[in-house]
Amino acid sequence: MCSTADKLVGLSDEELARRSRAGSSSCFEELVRRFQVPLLCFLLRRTARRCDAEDIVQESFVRAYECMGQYRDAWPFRTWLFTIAHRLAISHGRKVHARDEAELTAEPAEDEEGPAERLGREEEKRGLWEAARALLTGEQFSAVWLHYVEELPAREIARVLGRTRMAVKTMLHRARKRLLTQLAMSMVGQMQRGEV
Amino acid sequence: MSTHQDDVNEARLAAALKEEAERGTPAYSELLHARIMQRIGTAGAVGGRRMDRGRGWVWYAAAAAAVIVLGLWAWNSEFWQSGGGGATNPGNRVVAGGSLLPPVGELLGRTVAMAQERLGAELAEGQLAYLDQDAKRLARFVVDQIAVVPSRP
Repeated sequence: MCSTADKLVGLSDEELARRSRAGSSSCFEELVRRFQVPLLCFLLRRTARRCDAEDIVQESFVRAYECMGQYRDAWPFRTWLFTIAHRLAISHGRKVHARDEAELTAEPAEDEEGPAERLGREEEKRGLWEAARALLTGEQFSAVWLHYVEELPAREIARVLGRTRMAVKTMLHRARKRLLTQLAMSMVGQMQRGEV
Repeated sequence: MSTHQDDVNEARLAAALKEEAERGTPAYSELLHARIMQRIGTAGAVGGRRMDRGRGWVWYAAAAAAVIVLGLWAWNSEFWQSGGGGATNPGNRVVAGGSLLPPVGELLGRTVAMAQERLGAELAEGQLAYLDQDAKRLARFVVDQIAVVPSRP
């Protein structure tokens, strides 16, 4: 069905999904290749820990593979995959929340990241997305990511989040407002410290 | 109402978010790819178990319908064999048109008629319930012998 890698590259996501559903594992592998980075990027920002993000990426693809029979052509494959990842991220978030509460009084755990990664993480902490993760709910964060980075239309975001299109538009409006306020406040702070 | 300044701020925010996301994009990992594919390899055939579960209700519904039709048919056959159909010749149970099974509507109609008949028989039997076996036989004989003449108003 999918004989060469070159042939697969030219196919749309939906066509690859259709062929995967028909039993072509090479087509599914191509989908994994295409969506590994976008999913990892989204989940890295969402979960903040690389190992967690990688685990969710892996689980998302496994779920997609197992549920391929339920995939409908009317959905863009990207939307479907992000829906799975978003739901897994929510359940992961709940587990982490419970774990964090349990560890609140315990000794800080040994850091798994190396010095270079830690430096990168510190750099990121000053970033907008880090602020977004701190300020917004998980759902709002996903909506903002899907809108600005994945450039999905409101209709598709609504599908991912299981909300109406109007609810997504309201969610985006509120999230933007909060981010802009935060951005303005941090700029004022920087100006007062004489950094700008 | 959104002002021009709001639009400018929003455009700046959008650009900043996009730029930062691109800056922090992780590199493609062959290791992660291999890990995923290995895990998928152990997960079995594409869409296997979960697809079956997703469409399972269709099979359950079809099986239930088949069981109901077979049950009705068996009950109907038993009824015909026991001579319950009144003037039916048991040798003629294959219905006209060569089909072994009569249409479902006809089957349902017959089943309802059978149930009505049984209910009527039970009610008639109830009227003689106070009699012993011999008295019941006698009473049935007498009732069968009397011609039913519609009463005049």
